[in-house]
Amino acid sequence: MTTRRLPVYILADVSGSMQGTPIESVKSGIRQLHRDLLGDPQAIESAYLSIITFGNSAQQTVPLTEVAMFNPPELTAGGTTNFGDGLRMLIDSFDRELVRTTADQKGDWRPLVFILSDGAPTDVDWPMYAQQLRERRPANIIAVACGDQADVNVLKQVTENVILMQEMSPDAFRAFFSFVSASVKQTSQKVGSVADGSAITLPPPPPGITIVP
Amino acid sequence: MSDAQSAASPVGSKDESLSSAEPPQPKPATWTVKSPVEPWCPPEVEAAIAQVVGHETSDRLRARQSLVAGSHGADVDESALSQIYELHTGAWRVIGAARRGRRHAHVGAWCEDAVFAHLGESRGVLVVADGAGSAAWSRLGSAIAVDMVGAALRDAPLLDSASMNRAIEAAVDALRQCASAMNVAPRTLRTTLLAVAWEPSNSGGVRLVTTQVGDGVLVLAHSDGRITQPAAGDAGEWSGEVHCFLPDDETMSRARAATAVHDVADLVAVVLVTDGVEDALYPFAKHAPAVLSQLVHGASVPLGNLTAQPVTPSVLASGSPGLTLLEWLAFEKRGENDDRTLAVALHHSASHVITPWAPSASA
Repeated sequence: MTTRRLPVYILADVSGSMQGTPIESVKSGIRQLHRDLLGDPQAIESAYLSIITFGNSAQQTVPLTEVAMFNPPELTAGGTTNFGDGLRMLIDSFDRELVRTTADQKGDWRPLVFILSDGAPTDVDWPMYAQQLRERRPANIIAVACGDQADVNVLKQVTENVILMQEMSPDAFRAFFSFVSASVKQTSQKVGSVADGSAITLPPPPPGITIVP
Repeated sequence: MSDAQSAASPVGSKDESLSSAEPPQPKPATWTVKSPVEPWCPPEVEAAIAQVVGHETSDRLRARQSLVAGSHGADVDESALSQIYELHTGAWRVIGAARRGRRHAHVGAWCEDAVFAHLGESRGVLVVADGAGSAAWSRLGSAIAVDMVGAALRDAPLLDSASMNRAIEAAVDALRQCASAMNVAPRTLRTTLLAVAWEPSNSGGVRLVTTQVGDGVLVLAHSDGRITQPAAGDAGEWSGEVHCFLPDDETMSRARAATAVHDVADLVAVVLVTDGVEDALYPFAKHAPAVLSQLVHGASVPLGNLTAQPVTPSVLASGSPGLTLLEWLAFEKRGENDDRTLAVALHHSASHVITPWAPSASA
């Protein structure tokens, strides 16, 4: 590999409660994010996108793909909220797809992960994977709690960066994906920040989205 | 503010040699070139800094400000936005250039790298710095740091570890005081730093003192072709992760650990690069012989895995070696669009000791 990548993973809840407007809004948000990044030359040259979904089980719907070759996926909602399998798939994707720095090769940029969930986990394994992510800090993770049924405390166990999207309207999802796009662009612009595990600097959240302290 | 399509017109693109069996390449990114939007150093900031850094550094910052103030024309002249040094004595030739990267040019931001060079009758000094991308005033931090360290090394009675560490300490103190005078946090001036000073040694060779805080690379080239790297750069598991910048609390412990004195009998060249060059040509120590060869003999074929590289003459034969180096720094590699700085000291023996580079010899 000769290009250093900014890996961007979107881990989306596709459980039954996301059926209808929410899942359509997520799909449209991913298309909007893709279009937006295609207009940014640094993102074209370095950002790589992957979509992982979790319902009854997790699947990597789109493997890590450069922006110019990315095809927004079809997503369908249904089933339970196997959050643990989603986190397991995320960790597994890191191990399979990411390149770390060695004496002979510069590694990827620290990955950016956006987790969307509108409910609470239905599995029992998620705390184990949440602990791994929190302790190993393999990525800058931003979790968004969608609507008033999302369990903020669960997301807080994965990352300190939790934001709350009060409504699940198409406008709210649109605003969230604009925030994702701004975060990706800002991260690719402001590379060279510290690696000491301190909180990353996020762009200001749009109206309707608040950072959970 | 002017706005133009990417000004670089590289030749020797490797794309031309792609075989038909390879998958089609996605459409390349479209870069624009814009003059900086903000002043390099607003008057109130300049006044605050002047109280701290003394006349010499203050005058240099003001001179740089007046130089770049005229760069808001219809055509963006990158050389007016860049720092260039070209100095020579009988024994040594020193050339340094800091070039704004495409990411900064695209959004109308300043180059955040800085370079300082001095070449006296017996002593030479080179300092380069890369202001942290996440720090709002890092372009001033890097400029202040190279100037303070460079002047301290130039004026030090002796070249030893203590002189180097005092020079770094002076820069750290100045950066902290400047931050206080500007009423901003010290981290807003964060910068890396690489420094070397040299003079003839008693044994007939060259005595050098080197140090490093943050990433970037400093290498020494020897007459038998060896490249040595006195200190390892600051690197993490992921790209671009620097753990300590000037003027962080850990700066002096990091600098003291990296500072070293060398007595080298066969020194041909010293090269310092910021990460904008290092990352595109990584590991730099491996590519350094080819880089030196291109600088000394001219560049006609892209180095290593660069996408494209301008054809440039030898810096030794060029009438404007600093501008030639600036042009050399315009090489292209996908995703590598950071500011780039390279400073080199070439001994007079370099032109016959360093051999021409052939692509097959490249990594």
